[in-house]
Amino acid sequence: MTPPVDLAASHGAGASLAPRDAEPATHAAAHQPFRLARGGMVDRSRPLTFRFDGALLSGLAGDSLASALLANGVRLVGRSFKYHRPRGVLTAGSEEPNALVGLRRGARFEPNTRATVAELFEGLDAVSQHCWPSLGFDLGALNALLAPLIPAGFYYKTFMGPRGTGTGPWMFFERFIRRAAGLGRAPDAWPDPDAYDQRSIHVDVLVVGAGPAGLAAALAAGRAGARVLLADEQSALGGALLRDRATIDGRPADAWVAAAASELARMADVTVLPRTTVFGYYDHNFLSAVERVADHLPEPEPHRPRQRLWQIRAQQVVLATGAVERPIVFADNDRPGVMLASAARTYVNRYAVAPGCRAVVFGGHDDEYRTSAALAAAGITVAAVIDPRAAVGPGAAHARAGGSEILAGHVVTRALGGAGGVRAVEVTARAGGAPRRIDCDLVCMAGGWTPVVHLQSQSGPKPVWDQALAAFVPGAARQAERSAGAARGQIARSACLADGLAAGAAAAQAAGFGDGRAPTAPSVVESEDAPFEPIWHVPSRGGGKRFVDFQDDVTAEDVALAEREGFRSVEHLKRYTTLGMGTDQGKTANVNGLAIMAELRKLPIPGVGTTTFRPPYTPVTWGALAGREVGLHFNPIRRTAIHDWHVANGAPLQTAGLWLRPRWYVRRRNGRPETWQEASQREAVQVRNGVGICDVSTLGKIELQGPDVIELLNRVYCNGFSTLAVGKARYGLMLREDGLVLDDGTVARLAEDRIFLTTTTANAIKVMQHLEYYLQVVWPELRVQATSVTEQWTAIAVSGPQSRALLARLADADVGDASLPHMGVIHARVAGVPARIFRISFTGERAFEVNVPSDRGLHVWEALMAAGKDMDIMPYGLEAMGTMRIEKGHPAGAELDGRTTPDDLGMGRLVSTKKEFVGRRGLERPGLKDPARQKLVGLMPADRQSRLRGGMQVVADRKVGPPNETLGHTTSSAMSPTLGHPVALALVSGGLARRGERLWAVSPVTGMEVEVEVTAPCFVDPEGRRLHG
Amino acid sequence: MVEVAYRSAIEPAPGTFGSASAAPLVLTERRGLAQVQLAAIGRADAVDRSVMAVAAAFDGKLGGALPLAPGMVMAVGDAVVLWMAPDRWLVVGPDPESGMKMEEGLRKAMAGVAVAITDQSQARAVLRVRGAAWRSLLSKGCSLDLHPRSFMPGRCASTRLAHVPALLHALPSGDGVDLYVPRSYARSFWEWLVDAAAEYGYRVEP
Repeated sequence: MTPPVDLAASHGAGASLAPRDAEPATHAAAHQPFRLARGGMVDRSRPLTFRFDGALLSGLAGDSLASALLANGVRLVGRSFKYHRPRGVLTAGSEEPNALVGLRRGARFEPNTRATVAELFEGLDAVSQHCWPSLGFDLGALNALLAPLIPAGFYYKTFMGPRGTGTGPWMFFERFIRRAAGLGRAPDAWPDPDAYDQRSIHVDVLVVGAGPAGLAAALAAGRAGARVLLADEQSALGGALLRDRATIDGRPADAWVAAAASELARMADVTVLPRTTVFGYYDHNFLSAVERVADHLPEPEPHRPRQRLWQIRAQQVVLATGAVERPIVFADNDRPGVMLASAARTYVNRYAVAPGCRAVVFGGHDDEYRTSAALAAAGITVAAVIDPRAAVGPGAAHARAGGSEILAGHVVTRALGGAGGVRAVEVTARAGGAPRRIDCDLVCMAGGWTPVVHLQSQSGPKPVWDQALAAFVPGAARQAERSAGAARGQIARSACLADGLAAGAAAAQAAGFGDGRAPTAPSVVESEDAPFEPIWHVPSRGGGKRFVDFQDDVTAEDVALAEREGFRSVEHLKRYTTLGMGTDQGKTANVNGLAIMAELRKLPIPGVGTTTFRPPYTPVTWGALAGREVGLHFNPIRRTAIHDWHVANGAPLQTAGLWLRPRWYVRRRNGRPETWQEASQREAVQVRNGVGICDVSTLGKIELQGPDVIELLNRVYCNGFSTLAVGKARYGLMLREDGLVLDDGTVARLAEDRIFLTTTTANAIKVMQHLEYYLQVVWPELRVQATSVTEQWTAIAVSGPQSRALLARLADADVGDASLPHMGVIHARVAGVPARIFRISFTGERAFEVNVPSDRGLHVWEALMAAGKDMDIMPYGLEAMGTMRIEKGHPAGAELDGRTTPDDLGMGRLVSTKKEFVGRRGLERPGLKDPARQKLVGLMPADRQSRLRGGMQVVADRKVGPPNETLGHTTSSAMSPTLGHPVALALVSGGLARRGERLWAVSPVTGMEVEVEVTAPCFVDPEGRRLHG
Repeated sequence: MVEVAYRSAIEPAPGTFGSASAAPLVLTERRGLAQVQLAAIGRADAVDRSVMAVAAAFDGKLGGALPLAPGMVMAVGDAVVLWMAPDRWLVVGPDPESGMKMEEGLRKAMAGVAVAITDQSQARAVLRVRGAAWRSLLSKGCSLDLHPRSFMPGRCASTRLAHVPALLHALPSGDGVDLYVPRSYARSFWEWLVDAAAEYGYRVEP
C-alpha cells in the first residue's frame, strides 16, 4: 500500500485559508497536497489553474471544482444559509446541499452552482457564498450564537406582530435579514453574452441516467431497433461505476462502460447526451432536459450555445436515476470533513484525491466496509469503523485485517473540531457508558440509500415505502415509464445491470421494437451484504446541532419543535421548518426528516406522508428556458413590404401586435429634426389639404368564396348586406354573442360569390377564427370558404382632396366619381401592377385603398411618391392617421374595448331589425339598453387650449370627494390641426344627451384637471361632404 | 412607364457563415413561384363530397391526382400540390407572372367546379434548406417529429416553426426541406434561422 504523497506534511492545511495570491502559479500548480499518487480518472498530464476566493490553486483535467479544492486541502467552502456555519463538501454529486459557489465573473457570473458538479477548467474563477466580509471571518456566524432565539418558525412568530402592532417588527428587521439571507447574488453585469439553444426530440425510449442500469437499458432498447435517447447529468458515462473499482464480465468496470458507449455510438438511432439533466417530467410523457454544452469551458466555442434545453417526447421512459446516500443525524454532523461514504469513495477512486488522512467510517450499512476498504487501499488510515449493528457481518473482516478498529453496537454522538473542520469524533456505545474520543479529519457516513424517485414522482404517482430497504421506491406508474436499478431499490451492481437490460427490452417492446426479452446480463462477483439497520439520528448527549437539512439549516430539534407545535403532517413540517425547500430539494434530508417525525409521532414512516417532487430536479438557468426568444426575438416580428422604405425615410416604428408600423416621418425643420408633434401635424395637414399615402397593409384581409357568402355576412355582421352590389363596398360592424362590438371593417363584393373584407390590425386573427368557428361548428350548411389574404396584398391608403388626381396619373382605368364613387371597387393596373382599388376613407377625406400583390407593393408606393411630387405628397404615419380619425370620431381600438355596444358608439341605427345575427339576442339584455350607459361623445377643452390625454376620468366637478363619481373616461385624444386646439373622444354616461354640458376631465395620477365641453364625436365635416364628389 | 420592380421577402446576401464546416447547410430563397390555393366549397358537414368533386375535376382537367391524405404531396407537371387541410391544397410551381398566370389557368380549367381559387403567391416566402443537419436545425423551433421514419421525404406538414406558422415540405431526395413562411414574418424568421444554423455552418446561395 502506497501512502498518499505529502499527506502528513500538509495535514490540517484545510484550516488555513491564507490568501495564496502571492504564490507563483507554477508553485501552486505543483502543489496539490491531497492528490493521490496514482489512480483516478484525472489527466495528470493536463494541470489546470483556478481561483477560489481569489487564491490561485491548481487541479487536473477531469477534476470537479470540489475534488480540486479537496486536492488542495481546502475543506471550508461555504457558510450555511441561516447560522452561517462553516461548511465543507458533503457529497460528490448533484445532491450537494453545502458546497454552493459562484462561478465566473461579470455577465457570465452564475451563483449557486454546486462545486461537486462544476467541472474544472483552466482559469475558472469561483467564489464562496453567504459570507461577509469573508469566508474565514464571517459576521453572519454571530447568528449561530443567537441560534436559541431563532428556531424554526422564527419568522412567522416574530413578524406576525401581536394585535395592534401590525407588521411593525418585520418592517424593522427586514433590512437586516435581507442582507443576511438569500442564496448567492445576481450577476452585476448584463446582458449574458452567451447563446442558449433549444431543441425538440421524439424518441421511442428515453433512458434517464447512464449508470449500470441506464447503460444496460439503452443497450437493450437500442439493440431492439428503437430510437433511444440516453441522458446523464455527469460528464462521463458510468454513474455509480465511476466511484467504485468493480469488475464486470471479468474486466474493470470502466472497460465495460467504454464498450457500451462505443456500441451505443455505432447505433444510428441512439443519441447519447452527457452533461444533460432531465429535470422535468410532465403529462403525456413530455420531459425537459438541459444540456450543459459549454459549462465546462471558459466560454462557449464560436457559434455554439452555452446550454441547450431539450424538449423530449418519449413513447416510453426508463428512469435509471440511481440513488443518493443519506447522511446520519448526529451532533455537529455538518463540520467540514464529515461527508457521505459514497462521496469519499468517489473522491478517492474517480478523482484520486484523499478527502482526509485519518478516517472514521460510521453507518448501519455494509457500504461502510466497502468505504473503509477503498480508503485503506488509497493509503488513508481508517481509525475506526463505527457500526451501530450489534452483530458485525462478514464485510467487516477486511477492515479488521487492515488494522481498523471495529466498534460494533456503537454510534458517533458528536463531531468535534473548529471552522477548519472535524478533528475528532465522540463515540458512544448504544448500550450506554462513557463516550470515547477518536481523532480523525474525515468522517464518512453510510446512512443507507434513497432511490432518486423525483422524476417518477413528477410523472404522477406518490412514492411508496419499502420496509426492507428503509426507503421510498417508485409508486405504480401512471405514464409510460418504468424505473430500473438503484432508482427502484436494486442497489447491488449485478441487480442494476440485469434490471436495466430487462427494463430497456420491455420499454422497446412497448414502443413496438423487439420481443421484450432481455439480453444476457454480464457477470458480476459481489458479496452479500449483512442486513441494513437504518440509524435515523443519534440522540444528543448535550451540545452541538444535529442537522437534518444542511442547506436550510434545519435540525432534528427543529423537527421536534414543529411536532410539539402541531405542524405534524409532512406538508406542514416542510413549510414550518423549510425542510427540503432549498435548491437541493432536500435530496439528502427528506427521509431523515420524515423518520424523525415518524418516531416522534410513533407512526411508521409512510404514516407521516411523503412530499411531492416538482420540476426542476436540479436548478435550471433562465437562459436555457428563454433560449433564442430574447431581445428583439422575444416575439417574431411582422414587417410590411414597404418596411425598409419607412425606416430609410426617418420613421420611428411602433409595435401593433407583432407588426412594426411607422409612427411619423421625421423631416428637418430649421436645421433640426422635427418633433413628433410637428411631423404628425404636418402630415395630417397635408392630407386634409393635398394628398398623402399611408401603409395600411397590416389590416386583416379575408376572402370569402362560395354561393352563401351574403348569407354569412348577414349572420356575422349586425348590419345588412343583402343589397350589397358587385363592385360596391360597405362598412361592417361585427358583434360577439353577448352583443358587444368585436370588430369593424369594410366589406367589398368582388363578384356574386366572392367577398373581400378587412378587419382591424389587432383583430385580424380573432375575426378569422370567429368566421371559421361559425362556418365549421355552428352553420356547417353554409357553403363558404374563408381564406386569409392579409399577406398576399400590400394595401396603400391614398388620401386627400388630390388623391383622385394622383391616382389618375398611375391607373389604367377611369377613377372618376362616375365609375368609382365613394364605396366603389374596381380592378385596374396602377403603375403597371394589377390592383384592386377600393374607394373608402378612414381620414374623412376623399380616399382610396390600393391593394397590390406584396412583391410589387414597394414599387407602387414609390411610384405614388414620385407621381405626387408636384402635389407635395407625403407619407403619413399612425399618429397623423389617429389624429384624423379622432377628428372624424371614428371608433378604433380604445373605443372597441370589448365593453361597447353599437349604440354606445353612436352606430345604433346601423343595427338591422330585419334579420338574425350574432349578438342580436345579447343586445336585448336590459343592461345594454340602460340610457345611463357610457356612450361615445367628443370633448373640447373649455379654454380651447388645454391638452387632453387618453384615460382621463370624466367627472361632473373636480372638487368633490374622494370618492368622486366617475361619469366615464377619455379614450383617445389629439391636437386637431383643423380646429387648432386639442380634442378628445370619451365614453361618458348618458352620451350625447349631455351635449353642451361642461364637465371636468381629470387625471389623479398626473394631476391634470381640464374643464371640457361635451360635443358630438365628429369634429370635422360631419356631413361627410369631403368623401363624395 | 418605369419597369415594374418585383421584390422577394428576404433577398438575403450570399456568402458562407457560422462554424467552419466541410458540409455546411445551404440556404436559398426560392423566388418566382406561383402559390395558388384550392379550397373545395361545400357544406362543412359533408366535406368528402365536395372534395371528391374537386379531385375528379382536377384529375379530368389537369391530369393529376390531388393529394387526399394528410401530409401527401403530388406532382403535376412542373408543379407540386401540397395537402393543407382536408379540403385545401396549395399548388406550387414556377410562374413568370408571379402567380397570375397559374391562377388564371386554374380558374379556366376548374370553371363550373365548386372550388375557391385564391392566389397566395406573395403570401408566403419559400426557403430551401439543404444539408445533413436540416432536421436538427428545424428541431430548434419545431416540435414535430422530423425523423425520416415519421416525416418521410416528399411529405409536407403545417406547423409552427420558431413561433411562425409554417408549411414544411421535405424534399423527395431526403437531403433538405422547403419552408413556407408568411411573408411578413419572413425576415424575422430568417434572422432566427441563420442564428440557429450558425452552429452547423451555412452557405447562402442566390
